Amino acid sequence: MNRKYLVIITALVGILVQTGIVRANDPILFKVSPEAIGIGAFYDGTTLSIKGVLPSDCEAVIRIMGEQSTIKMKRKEKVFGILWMNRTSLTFESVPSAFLLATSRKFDDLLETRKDAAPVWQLGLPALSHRTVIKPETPDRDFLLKEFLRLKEKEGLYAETTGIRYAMDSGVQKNFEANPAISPKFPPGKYVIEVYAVKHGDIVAKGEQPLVVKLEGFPSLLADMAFNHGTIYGILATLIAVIAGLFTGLIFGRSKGAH
Amino acid sequence: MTLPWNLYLPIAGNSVNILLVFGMGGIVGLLSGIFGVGGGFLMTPLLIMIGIPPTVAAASDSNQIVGASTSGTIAHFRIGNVDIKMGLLLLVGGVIGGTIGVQLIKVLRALGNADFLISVTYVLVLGFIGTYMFQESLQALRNKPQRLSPRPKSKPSKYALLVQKLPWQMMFEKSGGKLSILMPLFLGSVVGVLAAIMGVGGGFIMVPVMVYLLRMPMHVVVGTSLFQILFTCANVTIMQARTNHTVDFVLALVLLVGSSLGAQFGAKLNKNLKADQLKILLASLVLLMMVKMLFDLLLPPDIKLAYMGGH
Repeated sequence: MNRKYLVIITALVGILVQTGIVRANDPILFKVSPEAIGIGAFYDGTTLSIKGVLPSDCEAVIRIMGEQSTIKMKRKEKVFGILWMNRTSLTFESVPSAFLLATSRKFDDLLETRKDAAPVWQLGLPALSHRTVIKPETPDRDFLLKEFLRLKEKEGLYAETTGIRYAMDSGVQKNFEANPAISPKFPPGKYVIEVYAVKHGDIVAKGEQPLVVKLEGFPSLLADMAFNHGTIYGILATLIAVIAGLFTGLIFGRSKGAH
Repeated sequence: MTLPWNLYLPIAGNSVNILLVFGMGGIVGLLSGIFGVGGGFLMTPLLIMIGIPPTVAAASDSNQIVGASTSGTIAHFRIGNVDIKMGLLLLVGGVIGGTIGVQLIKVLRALGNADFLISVTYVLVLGFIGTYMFQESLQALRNKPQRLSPRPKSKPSKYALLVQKLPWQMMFEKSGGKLSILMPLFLGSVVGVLAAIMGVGGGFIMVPVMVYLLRMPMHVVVGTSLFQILFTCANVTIMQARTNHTVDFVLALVLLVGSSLGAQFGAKLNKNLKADQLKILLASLVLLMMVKMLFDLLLPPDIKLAYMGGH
């Protein structure tokens, strides 16, 4: 089913490129491969390939976002003026599990002179943190949001890149292509890939596709055990550890005896 | 950094290099085999450094310690360094103490500033134990030539007299002495309370307690400590797996293959080291850990936010 759909889109993209009928306001058609990401035992992240067509006078902005959730955090503060410790509890509401933005040049350049008044600004990380709700409310909101973004960026979960390349510009339309790297830290779940055509800080057209990241094979089996049969999992993990320890102990004992 | 093998950890939600994790396991296992400590103090921060969430790092590490301490216990048992009787009594005490400790944390948290108290106590306890051990073993090393004559013959301390008066005296062959069973039970509980409050395995406190308060020979201390750690960590692993789902078995397995090998070499090294050398090395390690904790508390953190559940 899915493959058939992909073939049709690919063909359509091809036809559109050939006939040069991509116009503003048409939804942007693009192709993503792989369509779904399976996390197997040796998974170490992956690279997506995103290809499509957009009007020549537009820039492409690709955004990949994970599911939104509420995250519980602790703020590190000084206690008695000397020691740094995790103190105040805070919740950050409606934050995506992962956020990846790809453009062809610096995101801020696409805003041109309109800065954060440009509709395109809404697509970026600053707008995302602007929408984030922190509870309880705090006067240090801006500082905390900045720290939050830094933490997520350090973990490789939030990123802005400039990896979009253009080709075959006919004067009416051009091909775009990007290969965003998906970190192994991107959690399993549903993602949305959005492609925007932007011009002078305005959003001209948009296209959207889902992306599923899911555990497969051994990792899937293990996670299922750990989350749904915790006690048995714990006992098994302990037993296997004991057996492995015994085994090493015995092997060493024997080899010592032989020498 | 460009080593080829990567393994995905489904609970930690990240991939790691097998060889790197294996190597980390080996080094920590080595320390565990030499000193009779679980090594969680070193392993957990290392795991966090390679991108494992703190809660998963701590829980998977206790799973790993089960393997390493089994391997280490066998190695020490073979040399005759495990006092099972003493170990079991300490263990019973530890379980009692651990249960009290968990309740105590709740009370402390309700009173506020518990984390501050815990950290400060931790640093002070480590500082005290480390300095005492260091001085004592340094003196012993210096006095080595005339070792047989003056020191041990000094008059019995009040502590020793008190210990002799306690009821239910029992012979501990491996530890080479008679002792009231109340002693290991009580001291085991105290360590259990401290370990529960500080959220550590307790090897670092248990080893000095056995050396100085139970007066056990250093080599037997290490073997017995490992024997006891095995059970403590098995308990922690099952608890964590049941309530928090934070045990990553893939991670633990790679670590434990490394650490159980390391523990074997550690036990051999332990045999070749003199008791005072062991003590002074352990004391240095304890002091190093204290300094690290102190720095963590004093230096401003890079990012002033952390996920709940960490630390």
